[in-house]
Amino acid sequence: MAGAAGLAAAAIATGGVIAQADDAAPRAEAAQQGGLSITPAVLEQTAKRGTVGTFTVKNTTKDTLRVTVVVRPWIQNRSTAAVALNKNASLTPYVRASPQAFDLRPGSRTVRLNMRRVTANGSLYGGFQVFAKQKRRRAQNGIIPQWDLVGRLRLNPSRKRPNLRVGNTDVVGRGDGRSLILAVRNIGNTLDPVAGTARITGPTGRNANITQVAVVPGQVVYLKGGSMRGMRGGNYRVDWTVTMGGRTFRKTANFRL
Amino acid sequence: MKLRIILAATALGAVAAPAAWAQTPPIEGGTIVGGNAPSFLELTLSQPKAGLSKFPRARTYTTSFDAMVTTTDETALLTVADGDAASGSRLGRMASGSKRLPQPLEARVGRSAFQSLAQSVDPLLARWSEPSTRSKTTVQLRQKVRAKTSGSYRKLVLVTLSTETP
Repeated sequence: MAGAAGLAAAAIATGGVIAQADDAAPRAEAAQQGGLSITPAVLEQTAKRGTVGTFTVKNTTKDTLRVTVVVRPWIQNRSTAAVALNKNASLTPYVRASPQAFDLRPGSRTVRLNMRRVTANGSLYGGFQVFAKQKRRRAQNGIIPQWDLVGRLRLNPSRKRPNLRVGNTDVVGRGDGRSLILAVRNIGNTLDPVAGTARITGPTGRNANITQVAVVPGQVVYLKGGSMRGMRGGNYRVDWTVTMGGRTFRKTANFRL
Repeated sequence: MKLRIILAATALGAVAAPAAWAQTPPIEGGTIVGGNAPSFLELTLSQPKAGLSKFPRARTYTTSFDAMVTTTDETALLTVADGDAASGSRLGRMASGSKRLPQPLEARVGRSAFQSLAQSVDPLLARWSEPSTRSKTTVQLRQKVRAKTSGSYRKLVLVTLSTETP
């Protein structure tokens, strides 16, 4: 299903026609509206000076758009591990778009990303923000919507050094919603997924698998060691086994419920 | 009697033939259908249904616009933000020159609660957990006005389509 939707999306991107009984209305509506697209939305390469990727920006509105492209770092939510673009920071000293800003008539244009300086840890993970506004706005007042697309830039290191700093264990939440967490910071240079197990011993024993999560280098994420629901009060011990990129990290902690 | 047996055998053959055909194994050497799709993100926006520029009476004004999303990514997020200001007292408030409305502009999708655009975190409106093609979402905007105002107000609304995974 996911693959089919992906193929359908790509077919639309390349101007293909997909037979579908119920898509007449959205297509007609889309013709009256306008949009902005980027493809590919994910650029992945080994970090090195020079061109690290190109993508195409397409304007399907009837107006000329002023497009600005900036590469920015991610900020990661510690609890959910979801990333968002840090709009207050820029990675322009490392990666710059060429052109950075341009007028785009209805049609498409290719943008190149150049790595000007390699980071100290040899990798760079961020998003490229493609922001567009109408050059001549139809409405001068009222609500004026603007387009903002965020693609992913993954510049992997030529030599991987997966590493984690394992922090404290804590019990978060209340009542039946309590759960065990372990703070980890990615001090390596890769985006290798972090996974593992938590073995809890005490008045009630329990084993939990840590859901696999990608931690951005430099960011902290709370790994979830399972729910404390139904566990009796008392002193507990937890043995964490965390794996990342073939390396294993162990940590033992005590906690009280 | 002989004729009856022949007819019965013919009828049995007619019923058995499709069953036998259905059990025929597929012919080897067929074509494999498939391929790789390049990753793709598209955001299509419509013009707001109402201008929301003049506020001659003290009441709550609303408008909406449609956002259509195409993504090949496993997760996609739609957020809105103030396109004029990133911080300060202008954040999230409609302005007419140096005048600003005291109440911030609010946004939502569906029946969820309205979220203020004056927050430091961009309000999350919609989330897709699988690739989608031209998935339509209506963004509703609300502006509360406590006293009548003069002049034409405006606000740039930045609609962001992004991913959740790095």
